[in-house]
Amino acid sequence: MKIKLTIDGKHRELDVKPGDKAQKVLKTAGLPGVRNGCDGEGSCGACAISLDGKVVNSCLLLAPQLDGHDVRTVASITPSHHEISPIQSALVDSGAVQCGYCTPSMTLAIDDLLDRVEDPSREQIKDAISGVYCRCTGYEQIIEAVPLAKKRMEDPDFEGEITPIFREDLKFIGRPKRKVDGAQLARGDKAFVEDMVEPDTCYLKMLRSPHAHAYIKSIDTSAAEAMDGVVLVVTHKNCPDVYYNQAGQGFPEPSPYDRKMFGEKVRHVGDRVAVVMAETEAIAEAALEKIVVEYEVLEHVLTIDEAATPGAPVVQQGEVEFVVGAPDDLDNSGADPRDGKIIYQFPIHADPHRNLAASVDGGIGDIAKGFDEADVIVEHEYVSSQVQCTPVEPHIVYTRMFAGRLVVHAATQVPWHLRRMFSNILSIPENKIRVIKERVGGGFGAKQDMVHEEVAAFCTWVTGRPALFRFTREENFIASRTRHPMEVTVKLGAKNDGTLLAMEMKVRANTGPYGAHCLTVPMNACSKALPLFICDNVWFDVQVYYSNIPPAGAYQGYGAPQGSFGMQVAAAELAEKLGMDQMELIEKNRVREGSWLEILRSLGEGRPGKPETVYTCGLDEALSRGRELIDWGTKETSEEPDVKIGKGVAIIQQGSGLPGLDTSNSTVTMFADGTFMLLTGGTDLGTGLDTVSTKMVAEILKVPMDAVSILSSDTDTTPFDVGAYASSGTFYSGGAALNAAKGLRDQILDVGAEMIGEPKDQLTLEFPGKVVGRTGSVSYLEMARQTQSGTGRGQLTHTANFTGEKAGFPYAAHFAQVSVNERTGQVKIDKYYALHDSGTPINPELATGQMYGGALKTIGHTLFEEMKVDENGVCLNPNFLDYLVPLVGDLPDDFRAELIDTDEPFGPFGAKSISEISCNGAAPAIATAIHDAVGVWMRHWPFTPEAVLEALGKI
Amino acid sequence: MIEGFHSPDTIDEAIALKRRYANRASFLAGGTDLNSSTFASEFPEEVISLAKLPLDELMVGDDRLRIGAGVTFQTLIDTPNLPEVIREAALFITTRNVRNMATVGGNIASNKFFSALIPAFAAFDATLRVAKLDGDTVELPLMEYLASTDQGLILEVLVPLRQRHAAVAKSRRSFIDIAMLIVGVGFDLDGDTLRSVRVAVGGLDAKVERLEEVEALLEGKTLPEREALETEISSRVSPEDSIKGSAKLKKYLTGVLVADALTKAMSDQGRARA
Repeated sequence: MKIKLTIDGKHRELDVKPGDKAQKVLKTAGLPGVRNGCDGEGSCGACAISLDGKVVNSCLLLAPQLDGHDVRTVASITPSHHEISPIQSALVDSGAVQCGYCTPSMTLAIDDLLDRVEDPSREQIKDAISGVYCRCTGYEQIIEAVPLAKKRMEDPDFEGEITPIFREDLKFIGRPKRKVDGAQLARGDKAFVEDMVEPDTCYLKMLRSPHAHAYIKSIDTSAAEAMDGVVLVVTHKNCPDVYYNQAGQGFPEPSPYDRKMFGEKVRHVGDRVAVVMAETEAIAEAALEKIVVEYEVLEHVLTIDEAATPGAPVVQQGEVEFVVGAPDDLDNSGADPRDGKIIYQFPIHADPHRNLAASVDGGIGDIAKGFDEADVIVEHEYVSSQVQCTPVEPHIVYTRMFAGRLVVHAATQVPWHLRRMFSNILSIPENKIRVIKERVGGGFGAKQDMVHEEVAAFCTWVTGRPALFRFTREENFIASRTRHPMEVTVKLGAKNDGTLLAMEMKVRANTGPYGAHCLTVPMNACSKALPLFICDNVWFDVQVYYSNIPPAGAYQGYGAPQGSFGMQVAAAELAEKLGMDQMELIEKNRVREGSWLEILRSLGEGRPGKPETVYTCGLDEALSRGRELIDWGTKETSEEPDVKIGKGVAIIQQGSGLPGLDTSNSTVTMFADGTFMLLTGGTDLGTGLDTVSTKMVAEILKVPMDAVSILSSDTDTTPFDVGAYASSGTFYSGGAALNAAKGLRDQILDVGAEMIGEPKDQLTLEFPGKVVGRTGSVSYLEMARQTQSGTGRGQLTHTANFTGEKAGFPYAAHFAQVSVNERTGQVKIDKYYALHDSGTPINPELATGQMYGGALKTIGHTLFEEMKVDENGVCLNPNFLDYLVPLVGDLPDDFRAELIDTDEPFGPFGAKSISEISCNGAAPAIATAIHDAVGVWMRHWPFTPEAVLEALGKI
Repeated sequence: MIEGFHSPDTIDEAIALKRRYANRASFLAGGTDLNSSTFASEFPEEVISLAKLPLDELMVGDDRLRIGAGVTFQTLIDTPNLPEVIREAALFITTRNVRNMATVGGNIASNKFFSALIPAFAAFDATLRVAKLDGDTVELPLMEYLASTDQGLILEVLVPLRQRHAAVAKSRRSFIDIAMLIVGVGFDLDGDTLRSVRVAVGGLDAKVERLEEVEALLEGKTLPEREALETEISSRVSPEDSIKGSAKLKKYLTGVLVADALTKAMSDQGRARA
């Protein structure tokens, strides 16, 4: 049927089917900003449009409902493809645009608000954006952008004060400057993988296991293959005979190679059984129905206790091999060939036939002596449940052939790891593969792994046909990556004055069916929790188990949130037992500038660690600022008799990349008019890394940021980088851009010396873009013309690398004030303050946004987010409405993120990392605040009303 | 799978289409339920859009408030002088985008445990004007309509305008949470004595239900102390486990929420309409 409507002021006539969803029709009609995050649930608002002047979710509309109506999208608010409106510029400049997937919807909602309300209050702003889900920013800066937008609508030149300036001596570093991809994202331009797909593309759909644990006895795909439009069906029978791990880690990975593309055994509900490649989505879905599978269903294990029980069903019963370090007594007598193989690159102390995926222990001093000498000992277990990263953009990959090579457009954190893994799995050399990272609609660790990309790559390589594989939201829950459920037992011993004498952490973790990050995530629970306190006697023991729950893996924080929860709450419990104030105990034992971290000697990731000195630590200021903000020590009371108020705190840390493992590269090249191109491997997930790198170059070469264009994360055209994980972006990729700029500066000075006729050491670079000596100067334009002429030395270009041996630990203190309703069990966050030392914040507004985003995300984990898996291993809540993700209505009443200024000697311009650390404070700060309010210790997240009422003995 | 989309201009045409397609067709109002991948139980073959029908009038009459079935939740919130309880119930849909779409009639007709307006209208003893498939237009008590099998098309909700004490309450785990429990209570006050008590709760089972035992317990009595009330109410419900909460939690919280709502309804804040 035909419908007539106006879209962004233009009359359009569209052919639609009665059941077509409006979102899909509008997207197909050339409106990239009408996106899809929830598959028609109506919960995320990424598809928002204005329909006859009301903002609605187009995924909840049938296309015929648009007939005769006026539809407006973000394009109606965008002045031109070169410009952005005051609302869009306010969002970008406030730091409220990270991945940008939700920004078009936020823009529409704010536009509608400012049409309705002249001078909106905070509550009215929150109401306006109440229906749009943002996982990155924590909403606070979106709220702040509204009054800024209002001012800019009245005065287009109004800039406003976004954040403090951290480096007065520098032009771009440490100051808020417009995110280099901000305008593109705010306009809703084509940017993401979904925007790159060409019309002749085939669709991939996966048949998934209904059983938690089973062998595939037989599989018949003939009826599916016989269907018109079906291009390929892949199962364990015709997939590559190659074992691998999907974790995006540096080679050789500590994660075991414990899977093929498809196995004869399925290990979780949702595990791969077969993929169909077809010419339409509908055909692919219909073909899945035609595949006949007979299973031999096995007993399964879901919990750590079940997996660790002697005689439990074995999840990975394959033949064990080692590339190096095979033990002399390797025993494969219990292996079942249907389980395939498990290949270890090196030993990680696993015993897979007992479901032990990895283990490690170590420590310093004499732990037994420490506890013997302690006056007071506490020991408790802290449990975390399974949570999902829930980026608004689901996993998506688009693959195609070009000039005989495989081209992969990916929403990934690790383009080079993908290329390496494709090369291994498809048995083709890396030079036949190109991976292009498009803008990524949120990753948070889930996109650190090759979750489905290799399947699409294989289908395209085999058939020559382009393929799109986009996960449904349900697949994003059951077949992506999640935070490892952990049981962290912390035992602390101290003298009566609070001095810690012994610290012990025992971590048991559940990795699910495969071992992606199985050693490193649980170990990081210790690595980022133990060094916060200085203690001579420390021991840790980590055991990780396979099970049949949906896969665990990397998630922002990488084990540290679970470890911090245990360690910080245990410290608070110790303080209570000692009769000390929690902050007094922290002050007595915490890390400081100059502290020697001996414990790091035993905390290497599958290799020997190195002890280190703490060069910068902003905890002094963070704690004193937090104490002042929250009025620590003052007991608050509520007017409501059922409500009790309490305050809590946690100190947290992370790293800045992985010294000795991570490496980044960048190239800066001068163009013929004296402008620059920066090619960098750094992978920007919306975090602002491209802006960090651009600033490095502009600052060193003394040119406007606009004179530096950036192309990042294309394996053909940009140099190698390990990818975006371990909070490495600013330190490593930013460091590489800085080094490349410095190298080019040296060349520019060489040429300047020749052209001006003065010694190099008499010359300086001056803004904007010239070399100045005592007798004259030469502009970059003149220099480019000279060097690129027939008599010149050639185009000026420099490639540089960044590696390091220093970790650049960022530190922070998070404070929470909560109101606990003793009758309903409801916990409300009244105040939440995140005070962070991230060295020099290169992009202070974007760093602040990551702090808000990480804090709110983990407030969600702490209070309500949880994947619920039934006794058969079926996830019961694989959607936003039942899983529950934080919306703006979940914001603390008073939410602040502040940066503490330190100058890290080993980071670029004094920078350390941000991002991951922000996830480590919420659970312990809120748990200790709840205890302060109502006297119960919450040792199992999430702290739901049910859990609180149980702890209070009400139910 | 939807094969036909119909957009009738009149109520008679809409009813004729429904008669013609019977169970193969559904009326489509805002679409927040019918078009949702999570809430729609199954997709109809034929859709009868109500967009062109004159169902969006909202009128305060002499003795009744008349709310057209096509009035959206956001309009309820934006319309001045409606009972605060109805506004509060409309805010149970927390996100503005959805409130801009969801309609009064659609919310009632979908008849889910989280249908936000049903407990509120039940508290007021509201009735519905309904176009039946046999061509008649009838007025039915809300809960009677919901219990019937031949439902027809809701045209408007009629809320009696008399002194009524009413309140609503909701329990949810987070802002996006549709609801674990929603509660509506209402009563007339004769001195200190409660008359025409209504207690409706969503979340105990698949649909909103009246707690008639609790109503009977309170009818003709003065309102007991909150704690005693809470225990009495909890003992009279048998909820089921669901993804929203355990039976144990719901049983406890039903007592808390209903007791709180009754207490609030008794206060000045709960006096709904003079």
